[in-house]
Amino acid sequence: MNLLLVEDDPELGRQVAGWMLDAGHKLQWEKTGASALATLQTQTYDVVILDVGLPDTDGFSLVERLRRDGVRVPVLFLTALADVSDRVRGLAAGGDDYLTKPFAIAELLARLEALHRRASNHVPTHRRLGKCRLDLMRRRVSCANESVELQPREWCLLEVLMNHEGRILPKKFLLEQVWDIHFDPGTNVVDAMICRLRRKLEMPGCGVLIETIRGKGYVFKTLA
Amino acid sequence: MVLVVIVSILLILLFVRIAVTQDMRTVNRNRISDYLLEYSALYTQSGLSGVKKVFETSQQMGRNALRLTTAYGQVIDEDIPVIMASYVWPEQTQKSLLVKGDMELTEVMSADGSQKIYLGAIRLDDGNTLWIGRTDAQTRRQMTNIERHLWFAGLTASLIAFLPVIWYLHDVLRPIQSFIRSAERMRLPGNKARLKAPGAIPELQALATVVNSGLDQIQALTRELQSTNDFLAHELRTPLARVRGNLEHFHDQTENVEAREAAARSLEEIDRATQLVHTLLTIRAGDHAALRLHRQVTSLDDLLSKLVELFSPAAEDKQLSLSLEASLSMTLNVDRELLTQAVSNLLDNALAYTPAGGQIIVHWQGEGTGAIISVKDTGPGLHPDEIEGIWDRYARGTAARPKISGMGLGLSLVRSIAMAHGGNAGAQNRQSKGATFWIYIPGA
Repeated sequence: MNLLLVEDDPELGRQVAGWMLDAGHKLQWEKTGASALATLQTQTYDVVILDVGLPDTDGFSLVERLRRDGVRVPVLFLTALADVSDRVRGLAAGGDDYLTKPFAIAELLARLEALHRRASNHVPTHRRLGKCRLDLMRRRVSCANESVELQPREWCLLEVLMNHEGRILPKKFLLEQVWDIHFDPGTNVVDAMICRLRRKLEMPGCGVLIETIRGKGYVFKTLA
Repeated sequence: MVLVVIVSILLILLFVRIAVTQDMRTVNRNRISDYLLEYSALYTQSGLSGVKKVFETSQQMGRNALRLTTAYGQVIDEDIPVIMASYVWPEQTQKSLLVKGDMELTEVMSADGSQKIYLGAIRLDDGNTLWIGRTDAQTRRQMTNIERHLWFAGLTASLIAFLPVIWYLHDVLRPIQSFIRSAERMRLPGNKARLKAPGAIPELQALATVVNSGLDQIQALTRELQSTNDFLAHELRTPLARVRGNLEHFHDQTENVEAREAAARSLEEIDRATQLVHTLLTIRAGDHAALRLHRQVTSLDDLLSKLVELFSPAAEDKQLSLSLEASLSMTLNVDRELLTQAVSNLLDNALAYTPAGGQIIVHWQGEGTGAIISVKDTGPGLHPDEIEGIWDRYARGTAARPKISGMGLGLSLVRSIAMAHGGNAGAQNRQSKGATFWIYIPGA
């Protein structure tokens, strides 16, 4: 992906730039709203990572300005403002996603991928799951002679996991993507759901694995 | 108020009218007896002709009538003007006039009862009776005149009586009513209404000024609280993000298993601390009506069934039955996410405190234009002393409930969110076993 990062905090900017390069993405880093605007007028990017609290302007007005100028690039807000009303304001201003500080690298990556995929209308074609077949209509996973039916929410979870195969997905990201919950509900509801999905997919020769990574999240893998 | 004034004026008019009528009657009767005495003296002196001569000269506008009868009622002579011709005079007096100078006064009504004449009879020295009649036409004219003046006086009096009423309505009652309306609007969080009292009495204007300056102070504090929260969030979250980023980098790069485990634990702690600060700030803002609500029309059954679905796998793992009790579907204008979080906190609590095999029921019902959402469990219930205390910040149920890590901010947050919506939250023990926690959200 070709990314533009607009962030005034030098340490955070350095970190994000480092991760993105490690993950194989190209990244341009701007420290002020004005320079970002100038860059966006001459170059095109896949996704913009935009800090809301910039020294010369705030990210919300910057996006409003961009949208008025007809720039359609997906924008992910990076912000210290965690209130519901702030998020709503960000999305209303024309942003596409919203991530509050502090955040996990994995979450930022997963969100960027999701935004990029949405923007490029990329519909995942691989509907094979390891050695199993997926029946999209009946939400049924069949493997050799066995088959199992998934509940809508389990199916949704499986889809999100599959779309980010091999990537660590934090609990917070799954809560937002699968349940549209933007806070920590305390009880480990994600863990319970993952366990349930794991049990259902525990069929001989299924060849898929949902790993729990302490402190980071879950990762979906298909065994070769 | 207005009615009392009108009735009292009418009563005064009635009494005055009665008094004047009685006076007029006395005046007329006196006038007639004067005439009778005068004419009987004349009759003795110069006979009927003398009487008639004097009568005719004194007769103005045909108001008086004269008749001479024998003691048996036979008319000897009479002089009755046209206007009095229709009256039927009595033939005899009621009592017998025995001695010269005996008098009787009476009244005769006209045929339709609207007018009358005053009559007087006197015994003359030759045994005949002299009758004098007098119409009340003039009296009635005077009465009408007096009545007109009475009405005028009454109306003027009532207008004067209304002045304090109007003053009271305009300068006292209306400002107070406007105060009540403003105060009702102020109950709603985020409302900037102020007391307004233009044209009110000085005391009320002073009251409005004092209350308004108090409200201004509160609003300034609220704004300050909001900006402090924003500042805190920013000043805390950005460095936390730096620390977290470095830690995560370390976690991913290190080959040392123990070091990675320590980093993972630290990452969890950072996330927990961030969540805690956010919750604290939300509670503080909610308590001071400084929470910015993003209200949306929300279907309650939808919101609650999604939550029940979210918690179901976790409840199943703990061998608890979690169900939503169906009720009339309804919509509320609420901050969907905050209300979801509030109910989620109650469910989190219920799951934590209800032992395996227990039952948790989510229920809602309309209450006025709002709703009460309740979560019932079959846990150990609450100690009577802590039913209120558990809602305080940092408090956690002690007696019946086992200690579970966490700061116990969950219920404070629930109440803060309810209060930010203008509602409330509470708990009570169920009759059978366990506790019911409820959130009341009024219609908005």
